[in-house]
Amino acid sequence: MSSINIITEEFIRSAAPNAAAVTNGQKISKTGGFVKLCRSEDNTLIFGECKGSGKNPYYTSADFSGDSPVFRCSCPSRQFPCKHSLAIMFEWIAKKEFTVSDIPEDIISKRKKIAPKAEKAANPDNTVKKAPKQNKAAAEKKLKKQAEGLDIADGFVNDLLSRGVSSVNSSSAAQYKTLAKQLGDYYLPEPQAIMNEIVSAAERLSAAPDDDELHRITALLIRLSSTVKKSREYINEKLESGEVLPEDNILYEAMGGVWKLSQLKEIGLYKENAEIIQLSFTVIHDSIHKADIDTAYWLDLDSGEISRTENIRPLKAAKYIKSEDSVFGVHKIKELYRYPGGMNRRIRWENAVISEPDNTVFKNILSKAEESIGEAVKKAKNELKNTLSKAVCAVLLPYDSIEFAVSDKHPILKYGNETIAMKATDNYPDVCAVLYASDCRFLEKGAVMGELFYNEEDRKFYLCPLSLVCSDRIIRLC
Amino acid sequence: MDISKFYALKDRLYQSAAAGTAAVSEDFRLKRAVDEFEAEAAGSKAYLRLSQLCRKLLSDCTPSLLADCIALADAMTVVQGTFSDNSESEKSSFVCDDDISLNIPYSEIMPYREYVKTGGSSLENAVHNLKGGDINSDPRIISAFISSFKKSSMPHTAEVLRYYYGKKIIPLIKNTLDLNDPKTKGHAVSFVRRLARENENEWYISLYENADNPPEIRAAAVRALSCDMSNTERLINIYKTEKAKLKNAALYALGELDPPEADVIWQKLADKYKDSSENYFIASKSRICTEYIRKELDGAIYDYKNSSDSEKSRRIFTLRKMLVNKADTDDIYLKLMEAGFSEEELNNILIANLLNENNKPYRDQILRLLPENDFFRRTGVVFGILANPDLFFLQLSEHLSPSESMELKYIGDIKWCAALEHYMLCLTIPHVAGTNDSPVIFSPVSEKFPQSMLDFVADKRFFKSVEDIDRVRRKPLGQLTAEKKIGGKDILINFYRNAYNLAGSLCHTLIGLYESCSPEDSGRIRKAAVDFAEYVCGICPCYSSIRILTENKDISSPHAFVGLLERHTAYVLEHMDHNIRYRAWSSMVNMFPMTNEEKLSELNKALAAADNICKDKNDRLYGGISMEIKLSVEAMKKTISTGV
Repeated sequence: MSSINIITEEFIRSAAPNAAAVTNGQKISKTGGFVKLCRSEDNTLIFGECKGSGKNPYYTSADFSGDSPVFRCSCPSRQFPCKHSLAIMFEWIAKKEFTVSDIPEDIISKRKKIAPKAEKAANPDNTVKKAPKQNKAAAEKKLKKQAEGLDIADGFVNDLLSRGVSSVNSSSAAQYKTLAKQLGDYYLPEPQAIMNEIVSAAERLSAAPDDDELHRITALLIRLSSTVKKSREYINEKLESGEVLPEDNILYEAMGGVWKLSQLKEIGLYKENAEIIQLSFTVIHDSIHKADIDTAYWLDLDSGEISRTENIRPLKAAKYIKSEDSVFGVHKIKELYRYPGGMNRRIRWENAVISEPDNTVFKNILSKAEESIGEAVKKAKNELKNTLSKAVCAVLLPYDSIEFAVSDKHPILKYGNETIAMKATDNYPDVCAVLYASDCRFLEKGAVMGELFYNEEDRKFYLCPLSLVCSDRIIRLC
Repeated sequence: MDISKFYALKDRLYQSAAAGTAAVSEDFRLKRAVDEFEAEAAGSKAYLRLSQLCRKLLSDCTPSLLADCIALADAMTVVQGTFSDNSESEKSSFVCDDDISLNIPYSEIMPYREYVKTGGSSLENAVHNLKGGDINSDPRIISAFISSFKKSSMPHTAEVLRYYYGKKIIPLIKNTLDLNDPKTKGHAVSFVRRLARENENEWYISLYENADNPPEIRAAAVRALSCDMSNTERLINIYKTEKAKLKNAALYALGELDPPEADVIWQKLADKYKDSSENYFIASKSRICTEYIRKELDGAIYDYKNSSDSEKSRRIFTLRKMLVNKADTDDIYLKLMEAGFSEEELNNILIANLLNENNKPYRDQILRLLPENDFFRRTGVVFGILANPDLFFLQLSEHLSPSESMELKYIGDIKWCAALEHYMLCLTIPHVAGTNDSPVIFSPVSEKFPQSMLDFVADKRFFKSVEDIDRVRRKPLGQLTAEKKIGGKDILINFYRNAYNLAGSLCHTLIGLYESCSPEDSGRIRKAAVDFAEYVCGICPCYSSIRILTENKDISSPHAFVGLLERHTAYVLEHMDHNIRYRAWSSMVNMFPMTNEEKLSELNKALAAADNICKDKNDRLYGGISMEIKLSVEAMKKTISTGV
């Protein structure tokens, strides 16, 4: 059981389904939307009456009597929490007067209904539901189907390489698109997405030739080819050995598999009692998957490992999926789930206790920086040379100073005898300009969290800076 | 190993992918690349592997093999990547603020960042949308502000943020100026000029002297040289030797600087005046230009009044424009005033002159002109607000006047700026006297809203006189004004219609004040607004007074709403030109703090009042008002019965 005292602005933002709901909630609070504000004597419930568009007010409450807060409102909105529930919490943090009142009967009865569920959930062995027993036969069938689909994808790659990427015209593009559509029947959404991107890009290329774009398409094609090859090996191995269920392998996701937390737990991909802190947050538009992705990098305060969270919001379903936002506190997590992968694994969790970081936390972060730039680049090379890896590698690099080139003002990180240039990327186009606008006092003796990437044009590694870590703060650049 | 052979091979492999494997066997360039690479590959296992694969590719080219070759080449490229950067570098010297709040959520900062990047659509928009607190010190916002200078016009947000950032932003602006892009605009230079003036003189000179710099940057730099008299010789030289933009910029700068050495240039231009000199004469402070106006004035006024030649008769307007930036032109203003020129346009010139950096001569001119005639009242109001708003409005309240619109207009231009935590006068002077310029006055007024200003707006004394008139109100509308002394002060009293307009203007102004004031002043201003609105509603209720009460019903008296609609209806029908849209009024009853039954009762009372006044009148408009009230009555009855 918690109490209404955990309500802070950060809590409200994290509970809200999206930023618009926060804004609307704030507006209701600021314009005096509530005609009645009450709280329970035990400080587990705030409730009130809010003016709505209709004749009767809405009855709104935020209930903290359980492990998780429950938001209730009589308004017709299907969003939870709705703007009225958010507004009443804003009223609370604005220190408006809440009359101590008896808990309404309907809330008492609702509480009674959820009590047995809460009791079951409180069992420490049941933090995440056990994975349902998987049907091996179904899994095997699926793998075989996927193998057939890979043949189609392979055929596409061969055809395109055989004729040449430049040969794609509108007629061949239409045929390839049909082929790509077929992959949907073979449980291969990821290869399908890459195929679609290749075909669309190649079609555009035929209208407007561009060497860089040609290079990009070829790289995508090679990536698809590698995916097909490795996936085929993976499937064959599984079918031969009989171990058909998902395991710790990135190919499961590469072929379009979606991990459940219970599955990750079952194969041991989790860490208990983790403490992590977010170092950067942004929203990236993924044109291949036609989705917005809320992407954040997190540092494990114990191991120093940098992981990432991704909240994928397909554009078609954007309004139904809650968007995430940046957070600033230290997250203490009972069970932190880790996806298969190399560096910067994806992580997920269900509940976290958030606390305000103090200077010891920042100093701890600084201590987790890489030994040297060379070491970090070495790790990145090892990761990035794999065709299936992402094109970037997030690292925490220490610096003695960050300076700016006299010629074109590009930032340069200096640490000991080593230097590395910093450069913006398409996903973070303004970071170098933001770095330039940062107070110079923070450009000495700190650490930069950023993405190392390889630039084809000049054959060098660059760092795309995402945040500065200082002894008393984190400065976000994006 | 000659690494270039490896990269050449890689390029050829990509070319093969573009052309297709069918062409590989005949691709002699690929063969050559493979041969040359093979010769270098011996020292490395990975290179050897690639070499072997590529050799196989030449004889037995399959798409799969080509893909493998490219994948391996890509992996090797990454492994070979370097990272050091030994460019000459320097440290930043930009210092912002120590205690900035950095925990601003992405969802809040990103839209704000995008807004700051756009520069705002107007000054008012910028004042309204720029946030308070430390968010403007976030480097993401600072960099967005810097990038707004890339727009085609000076960002409106710059007017506000120059106060916020002050001179500390100058190094950042200077260092981020893109001198390599020939299309870079000169706004950033103009901005620095405004903030730093002669302190950056060397920088302006260096920008001009580098002939490789973008032309607009050089022009802005030349213009900026007007900051210091020591640039006189340089400017004259530029004027004489340069062409086009630079020459023009030098002439403008000489006009702003007004050194005696430039008199010969102005004299030459005046002697052989051409229309193309007009803008320079407008911008110039030179006494030569003033003398030119004086010399031409009488003839131009004569032509304006008598000539049938349109070009001749419009000459006076050109001369009027030239009054901008000219002090010691009192006689000219008075002549133009006597000739019947627009009060607003002449005053706008005087107001715009206050924007000059050293505006003492212009202020002195205003102080000379003000006592001459109420014609310059408008300038006096702006001058008073800028000089000492508290004192100004205290003095103004000693003298009641019905021409309140001017004061109210400028009071309405005083806005709370959250970013600066200050009330600012935000005044755009539209197209000063026909020029293309719309100068902007953005000047601090006070930290708290001046009480004397509030008292001025919420002054009930004028309506006391209306009450007196109302006692004998059945005078015909043809009777205009009556002089009456109240408390020993002479005032002009207008008839009912002006009382109604005045009430509306004052209430409208009060609404604007409490909607745009600081959070600290909100309670005080709302209270004054409610108090005034309740008073006005008792005498001549108007739309705005009713709106004040309904928007602030938490602090207005409940009884203020009882009988309000009835009083308003009676007032409108008895005193007014009835061409008023009444529907908005009767719908306002929905906002009254009453039960639906009470609201229905109010509507019925209003309807009765309307019917009573209209019963002897066969007038469509009278009937129209009654009909609208009836519709509201019916709607309310339905609401009561259905509960919807």
